[in-house]
Amino acid sequence: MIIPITVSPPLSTGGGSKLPPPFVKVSHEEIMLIELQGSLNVKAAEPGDRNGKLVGYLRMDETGTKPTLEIGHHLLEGKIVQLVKPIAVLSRLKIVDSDKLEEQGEGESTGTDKGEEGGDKGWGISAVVKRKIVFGKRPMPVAQ
Amino acid sequence: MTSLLDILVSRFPHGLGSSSTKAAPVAGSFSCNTTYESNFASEQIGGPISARTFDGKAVYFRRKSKKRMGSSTGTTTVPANHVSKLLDVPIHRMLCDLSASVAARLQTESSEQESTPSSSHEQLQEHTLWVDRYRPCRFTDLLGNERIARDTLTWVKCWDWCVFGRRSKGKNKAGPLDEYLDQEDEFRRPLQKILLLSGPPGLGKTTLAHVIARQAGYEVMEINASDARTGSVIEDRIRPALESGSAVGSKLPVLFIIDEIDGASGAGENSNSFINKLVQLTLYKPKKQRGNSARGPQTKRPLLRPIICICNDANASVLAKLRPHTYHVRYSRPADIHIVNRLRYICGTEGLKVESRALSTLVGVARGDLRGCLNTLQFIKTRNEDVTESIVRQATVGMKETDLSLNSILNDIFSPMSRKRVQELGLTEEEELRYVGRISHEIGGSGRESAIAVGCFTHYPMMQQHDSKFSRYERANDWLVTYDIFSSAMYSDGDFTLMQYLPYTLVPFYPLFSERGAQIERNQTDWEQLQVTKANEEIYKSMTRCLRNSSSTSEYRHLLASPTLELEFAPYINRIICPLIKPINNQVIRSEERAVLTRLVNIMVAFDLHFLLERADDGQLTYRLDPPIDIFITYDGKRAADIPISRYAVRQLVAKEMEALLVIKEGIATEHGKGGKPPPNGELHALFVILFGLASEYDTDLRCRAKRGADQNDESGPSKKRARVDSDNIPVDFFGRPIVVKTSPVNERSTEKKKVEDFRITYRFTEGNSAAVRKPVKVGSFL
Repeated sequence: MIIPITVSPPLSTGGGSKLPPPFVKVSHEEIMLIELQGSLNVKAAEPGDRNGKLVGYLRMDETGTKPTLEIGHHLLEGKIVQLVKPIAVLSRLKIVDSDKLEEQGEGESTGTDKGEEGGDKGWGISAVVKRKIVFGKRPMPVAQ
Repeated sequence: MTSLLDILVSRFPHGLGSSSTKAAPVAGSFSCNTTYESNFASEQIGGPISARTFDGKAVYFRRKSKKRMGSSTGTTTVPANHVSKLLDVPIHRMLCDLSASVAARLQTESSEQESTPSSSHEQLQEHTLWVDRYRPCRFTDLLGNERIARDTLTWVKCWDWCVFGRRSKGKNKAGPLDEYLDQEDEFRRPLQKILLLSGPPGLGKTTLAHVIARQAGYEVMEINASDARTGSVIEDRIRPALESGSAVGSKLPVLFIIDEIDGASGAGENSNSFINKLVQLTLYKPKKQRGNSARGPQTKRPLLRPIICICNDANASVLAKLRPHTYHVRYSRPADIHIVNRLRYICGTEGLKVESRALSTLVGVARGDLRGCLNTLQFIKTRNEDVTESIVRQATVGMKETDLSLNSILNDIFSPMSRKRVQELGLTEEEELRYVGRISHEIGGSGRESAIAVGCFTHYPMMQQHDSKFSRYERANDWLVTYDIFSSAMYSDGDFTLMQYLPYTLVPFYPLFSERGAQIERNQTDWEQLQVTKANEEIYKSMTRCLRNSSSTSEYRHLLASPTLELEFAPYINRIICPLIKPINNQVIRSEERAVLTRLVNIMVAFDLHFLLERADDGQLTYRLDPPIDIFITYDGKRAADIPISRYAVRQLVAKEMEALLVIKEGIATEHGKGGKPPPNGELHALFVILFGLASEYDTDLRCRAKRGADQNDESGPSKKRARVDSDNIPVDFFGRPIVVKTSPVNERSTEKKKVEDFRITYRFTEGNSAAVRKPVKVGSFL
């Protein structure tokens, strides 16, 4: 089976609100990957309660080199790293089912497999991620 | 081979040809060719036998090869240019030439000497001290206990392995020192790196050190610690010399002699003092070389050369730190007969007529001080007199007194001279009775008049004198007062011309109280009182500190000034903190007693006084006041009568109350400090004033307020704190057990639930792998 993938200019900036969790849109164009060394513990009474809640604040300084992430009473300092292989964010073009948005990380597959079968279905590259923000250091406690 | 053996070898005349005296100059002329030693040693199988002459110069004997046993070639001294064995000129001819040239030179020299007028030569001689002229320069010339000299030499020889890189062969001989010195370290040094030579002055300690150092083949560097007494000397002069290993322009290894080390600085704790530096120098151990770490210039190297320290009093307090690191040799006074013989020999060479009796008197007066004897003799010589007993007496009048201890001076004051000493000094009975000069000289010489005066003051009442009118004591008292007036005038006005009269004010104690067989025991009362005073001052100091710490306001600062604190504050605070309280239950207490109690607690908190729970020696629990200002109202184990003794139960009560109050105060302080904002209303602030000031009334209402204040703290604060505050208000049953509380846990649970309901997100950092090995361990392995 051949799945058609169309390369289009970052199309769905409008639908950028539906970006998968690990990605963040920085400035107007660029989408970055966020890497945490650690995990997020969410404490909520019911699983549904967590939807739409604030996790933390991601801040970028003026030079755009020093991102910080504030989660709860922790302040993380990160750095921006160039990805070895760029990652494409794929999104299904025509939503037939009620499937949710999925993402596939395959840098090399861009533009290789092209087919026109199943014209109603197809994948579009919504963005190419070239850099990531890594929060690898021990968090600093912050007084609120 | 020890040099003692060497000396024996060098004494054999057949080894050196006709006689040793002839060979000495030849050897001397070659001894500068030290560069050839190593060549020579390496080429010869078996190597030469090295030896030293009396003067410490090196002489080498070549071994006879077995083939040439029959041949008549005698042993020769140091070879000339021995590059190869194929010389142009045979060696014996070269030696002949050399000896001829030396002989020629000696001849010219002697003729020159003859030509110079003998008078000038004599005058030159007169300018040098006899002490210097007759200073021993060979090991065998040393006067005194030979054992001391040998011990010293053995110690110096122990360094041979470290310094010269060869093992001293004399080790094979069993000696008392050997096993002790055998514990050598990684650098093959003896266990003790420093030799401490102690003994009375003038016996020749310095000379001994010099002679032995030369004998063992060292170059001597001497430092007089009484001149250069700061620690920087070690860094500036000693360490460079020790590290370079030899003095400038010399090939011999260096040996340090630190003379008069008891004059050095070092009694204090200051780490820069001379003694401390010296100990550091000795103790320094190099760390294991790690890789190829660059050795900076600051890196210190271990001590690899011997150090000899010389002092008069080995028990001087200055040397306390050094003593454990030294090998101690005590230099004692040699037998009088040896000194007399030596003196007679010297007088003979100097052409001085002496009586034997005069000499032994001289030695007796000088107490074996050879240097003093020689100086006296020279002094007599300059006046062109014969040495007779009377002249010796005259000459020794001003002789330097050996350092007399305080105790011996006091003994001299309170008891007449011993018969032996009288005999030694050869005094007539009439002379013996003249005490003023003798005692005043002793007192003045010691330079510790005040200590002697204190000694007199403590001892004169002890003397058993039958005196119905106490007139003796009265007079003694008068003299002491005189002394006091003189010395205070001297020190306060700086009028030091009075100094010379001070000894005379103490002399009268001799006629008043002297008694044969009186034993002066050292009285420590003065010292003990001084210690007590110091301890009490410390208590005052800590009290001042407490006051300063506790009162953030400057309300009580005026109490801290010196006379006010001791006279007006401390006596009254002791009365204030001991009110009459009956030790009864907290709940049953009457309202007026409650007021007294709360006021007491407030005062104690305000002045930062505490009751500390302690277990006494007999196992009983006591509450001790800290700082212990209650000792100021305790005299000689008895308490002042008007102050009630606070009992254990009362103190316990007070301590508990104080604890509660402190917790409240702490809670408020953290609240205040943390918020950084003014308290929500005036209430908290008012509370502060109430707590810190004593003026306002302390009411039970305050407790509720305080509790509220504590509850307003952050929830994360220890709940224990709150519980304790609560516990004060909990109604207690008859036995003091709290009646069960039900309300507070419910409260807590409800607040907790409320907390959980919030949405919270936290970040958990993943540390990475731990390499720790985990294995199950049973509890039993810890027990």
